[in-house]
Formats: sequence, C-alpha cells, structure tokens
Amino acid sequence: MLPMTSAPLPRFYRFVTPLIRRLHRHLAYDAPETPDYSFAARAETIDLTIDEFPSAIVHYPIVFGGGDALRPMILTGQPGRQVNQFVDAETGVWREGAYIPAYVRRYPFLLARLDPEVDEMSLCFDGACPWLRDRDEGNLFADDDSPSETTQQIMEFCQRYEAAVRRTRNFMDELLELDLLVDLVRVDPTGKTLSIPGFQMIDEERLHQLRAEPLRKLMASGAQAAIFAHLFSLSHLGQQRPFVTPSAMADVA
Amino acid sequence: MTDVIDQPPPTLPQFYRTVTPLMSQLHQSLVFQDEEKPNYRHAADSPAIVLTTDEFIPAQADYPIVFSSGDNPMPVVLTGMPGGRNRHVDQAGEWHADRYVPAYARRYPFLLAKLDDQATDLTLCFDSESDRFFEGAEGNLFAGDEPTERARSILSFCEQFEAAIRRTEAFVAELRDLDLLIEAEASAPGEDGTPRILRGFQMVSEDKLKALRGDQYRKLVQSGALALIFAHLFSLRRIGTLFVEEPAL
Repeated sequence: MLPMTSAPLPRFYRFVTPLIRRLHRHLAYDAPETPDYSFAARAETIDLTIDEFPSAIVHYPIVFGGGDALRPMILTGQPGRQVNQFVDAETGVWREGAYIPAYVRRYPFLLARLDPEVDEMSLCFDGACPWLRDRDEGNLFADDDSPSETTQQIMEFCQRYEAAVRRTRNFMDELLELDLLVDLVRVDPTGKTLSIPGFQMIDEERLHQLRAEPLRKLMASGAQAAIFAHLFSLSHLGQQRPFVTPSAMADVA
Repeated sequence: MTDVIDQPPPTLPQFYRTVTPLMSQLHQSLVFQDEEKPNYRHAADSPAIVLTTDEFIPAQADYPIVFSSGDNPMPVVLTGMPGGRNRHVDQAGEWHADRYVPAYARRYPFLLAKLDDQATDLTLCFDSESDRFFEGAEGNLFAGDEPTERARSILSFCEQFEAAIRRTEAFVAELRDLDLLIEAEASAPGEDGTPRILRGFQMVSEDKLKALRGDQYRKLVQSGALALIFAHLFSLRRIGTLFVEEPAL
C-alpha cells in the first residue's frame, strides 16, 4: 500500500489507503446497522464545516481551534478530559436527537491528495477500520469494474464534504482578514471570566465596530450567518451573550 | 390540508380569563399557592406563544420563532399546529424538561395592565380564575399595606417582562421600516400524499435581507437586530418538527 506523506493523519484515520480497483475487487464495506461512533468516543472536539453551523448550534458550542490550521470545531466534551459526552463509549451510539457532524459520518472514507503536486483527490479509506474486509465478493466495484452504487454514494458524500471544507476555509480567511478572533473565554455563574486555552471565538465588540462595506461583504458571502450561529452556540458554555439585553428573566418565584 | 394560524381580535391576553387588579385593601387574605414544580396547564392548549427578543437566543434551539400576521406582528414560538395542543406540555402540565419556557408562560397568572385606556401607569393584576389563588387565614401577597417580598419579586418579573416587550416592539418596528417581513407558509407531505400547509404567519425575507445596503447592516448590527434576525432564521429549521405526528403521551 502506498504510504501517505509524512503529514499527520486526519483524526480517527490510522491508515489512509487509496481505493484501487486492481487491489480492492474483493473488498466489502459492512458498516454496523446502528452507526457506531465509538472511534470518536474520546474526541472532545470535532471539526465542523460552515454548512453545518445552523444544525450544530442546537447542542454544541462552536469554537475555533487547531493552532496554525485554525478551523471551526464543536466541543463535545470538556477540554483535556478526552470524553465525548455525546457518544456512548460501549455501544458507540450518538446521543439521540443531537446533530452528528459530517466529519464523523464520513469515516472510514475520505478524499485525499495522493500526490501533493496534483489537484485531483482520490477516494481513500482507513485500512485499519474493521468494517472493511476482503471477502469472496466485494461490494465496492460492480461486475464491470465500475464503482458500485455504494462507492458512488460514498464518493458523492466525500465530494460534498470537501466543497463544504473549501467554503469553511474561505470563511476563516474572511474572519482572519477582519481580525475578529480573540481567545475563548466563558463567564461562570458568578460572572467571573474563565479562559479556555487553545481555542478562539469572535469578539462582538470588533464585530460591532466593522464599517458598512465589510459588513456588506460578510452578508453577501454568508459569513455573517455563520458568525451569529457561532455566537449563539457559545451559550452552551454557560455564557451570557451581551448582544441581546442581558435581562435573563428568572422564574416568577 | 391547510392549517391557518387564526388571529381573533383578543379581548383578554392569551391564557387570562380575568384581569383583576391586586389591591392591598381587597386582597389581604389572598394566598398565591406554591407549587413543587412549575405547572403550565394554562399553556397546554396554545400552539403559539408570544416571545420577547430577550429570549430569542435560548428559544431558537427548541422552537420555530415566527411573526404573527396582521397589523401588529409580534414574535411567537410555534409549539404545535393550529387548533392542536402545545406539544411541549404534558397532561400533568409539566413543560418538557430540557426546553426553554417562554417568559410569557412563566408570568401567568400575573401581569401588568392599564386599568383603563386613559391610564399611563401599569397596575399589577392577576387572573382570579387561576386555581392557584385561595383565601386563607393569612394572605401571602400583602403585609398590612405593604406588598410582601413575594409580591415584589412578582412585580419585578412583570416589569422586566414589559421592558422586554418594549424592546421587542422596537425590533419589529425596525423590521417593518426596512420592509423585511413577508407572509410565509410551510408545508410537508400529509399522510394521504396531499401536502399539509401551514399559513398565517410572517418571516424575514432572506432575499430582502440580502438586498440591504452596508450602512443598513451596520445599523442592524449595532442595534442587535441582525443577531435576532438570524436567530429567527435559524429557528425556522425547527418548523418541520410541527408536522411530525405527536408521540402518544
């Protein structure tokens, strides 16, 4: 198998193996009937594309992390604890009703550039994933050697995912260009500000100070919607958002 | 089949059967009964409940937020289909534990009201038909002429609510000045294959929003209205849940 470049592997993937007709006619993909996300049970962050923001805000804080490769991600557990609170570690079942990010729904497949010089991406899979096995009859290629319907569906999903990743990169470029990001903090119930190291958030003050032209651009590109989705999602950190009058009307005693 | 959200001219505010001014000389022995758990029986039959803009962010994750039709649109959360019940309140009157309860429903059975059209002041009133009130040997809303701590905290909540309503009206006025609201409808395939359509509400038009000028966005960002508009737009994703058959209680 072609060893991939020395670049770190994408999270959850142990071997990125290109799917090649010549080698994989007998390969069968048998995913468990109930999707099993136990591979993500220790992930306290999961990458999120900009397309997914409105769905994700119901359950997760969306923050920015990843160091030099700064990108949006949801917090699925407390940083440092290595527990994904949305996945049952035993059964791998994702909490019912909670949005499941495309990044984990894509696993064990992905599109990858096999040759850094070439733009073309190839469909690959995690060669260490137990759901892919050689059998008497494979299911990834049809009799005439063309990609099977399963493979075509996987391919389409991965292509849509890559397109969303590109939109997400453009969004990050816009945020960085306007210098809107600051270190992530949350406000505890006593009003004390606590920093959450390693992550960033959009600063509302900076957003409020933007002039008309950058705001028009953010609206036109769709970035503005994502910015507000991110800000709303921070309420999952227990943060009072100041952009709406902060009279949290308590219950009538 | 088409479901239309009706808007009959309200005589009394939603949930209230009477609006009775609370007065120290009349209500010395009035007891407002405590409940172990908040009870929302009064809201159990309401498929739409007023929502203030202060509440958009917590509410958008749980409910579709739309605007009522008619001359004075107000934001409401849709909690069921027209004519149906509030699917977040069970038969015991308990609101679904994980979902946001609108302040309008938490305020009941109290409210601030003008006693007559000429009045400028608002008076604390209550729904005397609510079964949470009874006459006791000792009332708990007045100590002599003075309101008790209990009554004062109720008053303070109602005042906060009225202030939030004023902010909400200002937000709606901003939307109307920019002509952003449009009549809307939602539909889903019905059981017999013909679409089931929900009408009688308004929403912000994304096309009209996209067509605004930069300086208009700037004003909307600074007033906080743009955040509210997006909370409303995101919440519309929750509208599909209304068409799903209710699980048996």
